[in-house]
Amino acid sequence: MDKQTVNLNALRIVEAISRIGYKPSAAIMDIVDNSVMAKAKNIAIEFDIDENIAINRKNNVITYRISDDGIGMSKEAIVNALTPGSDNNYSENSLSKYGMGLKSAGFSLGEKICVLSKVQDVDTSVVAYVDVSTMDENYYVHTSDKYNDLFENDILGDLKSGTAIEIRNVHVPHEAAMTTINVLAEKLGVTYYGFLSSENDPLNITIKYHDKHIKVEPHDMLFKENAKSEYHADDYDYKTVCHTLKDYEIELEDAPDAEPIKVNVALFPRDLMKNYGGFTKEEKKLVASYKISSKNKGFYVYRNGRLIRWGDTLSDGKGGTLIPRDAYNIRGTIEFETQHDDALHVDVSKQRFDLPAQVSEALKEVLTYPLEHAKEIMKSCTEKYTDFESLIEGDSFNETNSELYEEDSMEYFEPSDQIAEKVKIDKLKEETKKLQDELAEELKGADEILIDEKVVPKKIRYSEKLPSDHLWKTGYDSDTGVFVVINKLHPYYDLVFKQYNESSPERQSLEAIFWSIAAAEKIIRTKMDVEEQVLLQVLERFKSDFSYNINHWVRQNFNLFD
Amino acid sequence: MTYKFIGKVNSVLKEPVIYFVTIKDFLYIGETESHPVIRWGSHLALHGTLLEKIRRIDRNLLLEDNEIEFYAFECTYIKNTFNRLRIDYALKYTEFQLHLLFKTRVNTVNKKFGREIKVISDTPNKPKFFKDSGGECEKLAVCIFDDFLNNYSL
Repeated sequence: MDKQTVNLNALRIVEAISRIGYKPSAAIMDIVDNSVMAKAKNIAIEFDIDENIAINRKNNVITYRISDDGIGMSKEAIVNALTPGSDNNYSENSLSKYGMGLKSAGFSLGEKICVLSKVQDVDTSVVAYVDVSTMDENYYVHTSDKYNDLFENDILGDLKSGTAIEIRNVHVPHEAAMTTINVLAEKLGVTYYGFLSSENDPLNITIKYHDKHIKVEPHDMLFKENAKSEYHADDYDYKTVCHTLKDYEIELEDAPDAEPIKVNVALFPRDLMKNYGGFTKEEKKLVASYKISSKNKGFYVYRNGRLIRWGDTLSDGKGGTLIPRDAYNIRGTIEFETQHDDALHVDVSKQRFDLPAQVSEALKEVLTYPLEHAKEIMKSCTEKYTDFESLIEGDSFNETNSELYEEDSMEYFEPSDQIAEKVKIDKLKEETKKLQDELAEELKGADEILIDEKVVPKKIRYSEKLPSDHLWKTGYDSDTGVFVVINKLHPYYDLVFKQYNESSPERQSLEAIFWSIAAAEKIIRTKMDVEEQVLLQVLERFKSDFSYNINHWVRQNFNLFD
Repeated sequence: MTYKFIGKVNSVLKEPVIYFVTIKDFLYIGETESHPVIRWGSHLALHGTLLEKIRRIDRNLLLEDNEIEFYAFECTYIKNTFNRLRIDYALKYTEFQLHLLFKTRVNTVNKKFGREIKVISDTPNKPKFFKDSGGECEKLAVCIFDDFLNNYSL
């Protein structure tokens, strides 16, 4: 057998790595994993965002930056970390996966990975970068001992040690910063729950964008702290979590000398109770904070304290799942460590595992009661809910469509004048500011944090104080994008909107029409190359005639829903 | 004259009892509200549940010189806490919890027995409307589990 040396094309390899299919949030969390493993206690995730593009629009990230105060890396270690297929020595409880962490995460985000690092007792920082644009068939890692060869400022400042990773030349297209930020705000607190909630020396993670700092709080998806320890149908209150299975131990037959794995299970009320008329605002907020949904049900699997599976319904080994499809209100955790890897068939990515038959059979029986109780809770909540109905108008649409943003149907066909567009956008923002001041009480909290850390832009709002007879008013700000204020004093609201429950599909479909009209108005106003005064007159006339005619229709059809 | 004493079972006629039956590497877990020998007798009668299960696993188990061992635990807590109508639920629930323990603490069980033990009884259905206040029946199951393993399984 002959052995030949084959030359690999570095550029092609890097391009292949960058197309692994990472979402930006997953790639950033991979880099955060490195910081955690480097014993960092403070981690900052920063987004440099193009100020001319709304925060919820695609392609608005200029740079991603993740910095930490971990042990830092020597020049040799940085070169190693930036080199595909390099040798790595993983510690016993490593979170690492393929040994491709920084490269795959970095190149999936952008073309240039820059590193600044400092180790204790060494005075100077070391910088290094790899850049796709400088690659040919060879792979180059550029290094320097002067931070200002690569960075404007010494990001690490007075820290004794630490590392900053900056991803420049971010790929286009990429998802909106707001989308990534929302996912990170939601997932980081769960993913690193054990690290963030540690009593001794907890980890701090901060997400920074514009002038906002979001501190990531530890988030226990089982809400154990305020949970009841038992579920009983006769004293169930429709809002409190029941932590019915506490640190239940299951021994793994295939790992006879290992500690048992731990299982916790909690039961939640039905999601619709967040709108239950019989609850106070605080009680509704409490239920909303659980974020009960299909994607959040199931098991949160932690390996070495780091989440590896989110809401896994767990295979029963017979083609089905241990958590049924409609059991939205049951969640659990499974905690294990490196010592269980072989018995649980943890794969090389450390993200997947298979429950051996012995464990899935045991778990199936352990879950008998919780599943039955979860079903009972769903049924009793539905019955209770029918007593009352009181929702916040627009919030169902806003929650469901937090990532909806206006799209220009002619974007690729019409030339765009970005300078003129910015002037027009600023004018629209000014008008919106005036409108918001007038409706201050009703419209406050354009970027209200509705559920935990998740920013839910209020794209649909209702008002009784709209300063015109129009059925709607269009607004625009950087945090929300386009929003529409629907006039509750317009007769069409009384005849049609009020017929439909605030969260019903019919109501949301109506709201979608008005949001789309507002989106179209914003695009026409800011993108069309037409004399502005004329355009504003046309739009104003359109809204006026629309509102007038629909009012006329209402008068003709006032008993339509009788 | 050779003979040997093979055991003694003390119980009144009506008594909540959790019992274990072992034959070779197999374990059967059950409950009864009557004197356990009544239930054991029916288990081993022609077409009895236990006999049938053993036959299905391996007919030879019965033909060979394998001893069948019976262990019974009076559930005093259940007897003193629940009225006659609820005793059945409490017993079934405790039996259910014991099945879970034997299936989830496999390594502890196998180490105590010194061999791999297979539970052959079916996990009972959860008794509807039963409320295990303070998890007392669950604790009772753990006590019986520990006692059986530590004192009677060798």
